[in-house]
Amino acid sequence: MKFKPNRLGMKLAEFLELPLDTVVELPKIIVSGNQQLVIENHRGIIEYEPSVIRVGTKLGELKITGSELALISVLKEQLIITGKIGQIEMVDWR
Amino acid sequence: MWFDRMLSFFTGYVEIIIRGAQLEKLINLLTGSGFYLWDVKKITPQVMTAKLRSHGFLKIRPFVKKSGTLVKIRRRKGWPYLRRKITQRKVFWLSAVGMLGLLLYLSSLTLVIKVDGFTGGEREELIKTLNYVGLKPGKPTKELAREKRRIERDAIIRTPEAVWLGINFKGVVAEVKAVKRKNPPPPNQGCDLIAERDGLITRVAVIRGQPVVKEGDTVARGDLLISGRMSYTDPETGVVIIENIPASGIVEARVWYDLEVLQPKKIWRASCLNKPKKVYSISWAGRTWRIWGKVERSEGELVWDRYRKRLFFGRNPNRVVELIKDVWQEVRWRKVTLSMDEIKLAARREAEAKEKYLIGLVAGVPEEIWIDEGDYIKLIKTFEVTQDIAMLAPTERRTNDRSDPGEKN
Repeated sequence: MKFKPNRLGMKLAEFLELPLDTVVELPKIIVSGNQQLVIENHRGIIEYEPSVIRVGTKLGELKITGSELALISVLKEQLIITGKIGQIEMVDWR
Repeated sequence: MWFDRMLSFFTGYVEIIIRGAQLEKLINLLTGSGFYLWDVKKITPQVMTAKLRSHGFLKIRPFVKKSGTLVKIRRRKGWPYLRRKITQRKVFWLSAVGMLGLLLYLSSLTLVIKVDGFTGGEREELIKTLNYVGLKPGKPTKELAREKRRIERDAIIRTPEAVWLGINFKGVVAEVKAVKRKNPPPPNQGCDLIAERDGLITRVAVIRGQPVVKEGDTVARGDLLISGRMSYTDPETGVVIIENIPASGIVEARVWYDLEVLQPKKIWRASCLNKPKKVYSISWAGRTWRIWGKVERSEGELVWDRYRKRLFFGRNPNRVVELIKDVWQEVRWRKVTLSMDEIKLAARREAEAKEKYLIGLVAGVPEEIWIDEGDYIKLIKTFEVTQDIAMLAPTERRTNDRSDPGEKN
C-alpha cells in the first residue's frame, strides 16, 4: 500500500493553520509520561503481547515495547495503551 | 473514556475470553465494525480477555467465525444484571429501605447537646435546666428550632449564672453557647441592701452586714434590709468606731404582682362573603412580579393575608427570592356584643399569655378580680411570687436609716 499525500489538503491546512491530523488523517500520537499512549487515526493492531504492541498507521508501523502493556480502550479511530512504555519505534515510515 | 465506561455500565457489558491463533484479527474486525472494546489483556499467547457491551456481544458471531477464534462469556456486569440480581433479594431491599428510613428519622432528631462556656457542675446544672425547659436528646430538631427563642429565654431565666445563652442546631447536634456572668468585685465603699418591692419577708440570709429585718416583717419599696454600716467599741480606748462595708445577702419575700387585662364588650367581627382569592407572586430584591391570580381592589371590604416562602436564601439577606401568596377575602364587618363568658374567656387567654413573663416562683392559684368599666371589662389577676427583693444602694444616699437611730447621716 503506497501512501499518496493529499497535496491540496496539506496546502490548505498549512494556509489555514489547521492541524494536519484533522485534514489529511495523519496518525496522532499522544504520550503521557511512560504510562499512557493514545494513538488516533490508526489502522488496526498488528501484534499484541504484554511486552510489545505493533499498530498499523497510514504512514507505517508503530512499535511500542515495554512491560505490562494493556489495551484499555480500542475504538475504530482511537487506541489507548497503558503500562510501562519503554520504547516507541516508527518502522518503515514513509 | 469515562463516559463510555459509564454508558457501558448502564447498558450492561460482558467480560469475554477469546481463544485462538488470530486474536489481533478479531480485535481489528470488531473495532473496524464499530464495536467498543476495552480492558483488553493478553493472558497467554493464545488467550485474551476483553470487555464488550452486551448488545454488541450478540452481533459478534460472524466476526468470530471469520477470525477462527472461540469466544466465551466469563462474567456479566453492569446495571441490568445487578438489578436482576438484587431484585430477587427481598429481605435485603426491605432492610435497606428500613435502614434508610431509620437513618432519615434519626437525622431529623437532636441527639447530642453540646455546651460551651460552662464547665463542671455548672455545665451539668445547665444541661439539667435545658432538659427541663424542653431541650433534650431525642426530640425532633424541627420542633426544637421552632421553640428556640422560648427555650433560650426560659433557660436564661432559670440560670442566673449565665448572662447570655444561644442555641444553634447543626445536624443532630444542638450547640449551646453560654456566657458566664462575671460578678463585679465588692465595692470599697459601703453599701446597704434595700427592698426592691413591697413584700412579706420569708427568709433572710446575711453574708456581710447587719440585718435590719427578720422573717415575717412587712417591708415597703426602699426600706433597709441589711445595713452596711457596722459599729463596734474599741476595747482599748472605748471609742465607738463606725465602719462602712458592702452589705451582702439574700432576702426572700412574698411579693404580689397585678396583671391587668382590658377586654372590650363589643368587637368588630368579619363574616366571609365568598371564597378567598389567591394571588401568587415572586419577589426579589424588593421587587415583586405577579405570576398567578388577580384581585379587583374596588370590590368591597377585603381582608388580606400574606404568606411567604423563601426559595433562595443567598448571602445577601436583601436579595432573597421569595414566593408570595396573597389571600384576599371579601368580608362584611359587623359589630358584635360578646357574652360575658366569651369576654372572660378572651381575657383569661390574654392573661395566660402574659403570665409566662413573670419572673420568680409563682405560688398558689392567682386571685381574679373582674371590674366593669362601661364598654370594657377589666381583669386583675394577682400573683403571689417568692423572690429575692434585696437591691444594692450606697450608704451615703440612705436617708431613713433604721440600723442606728441615734446617728445622723
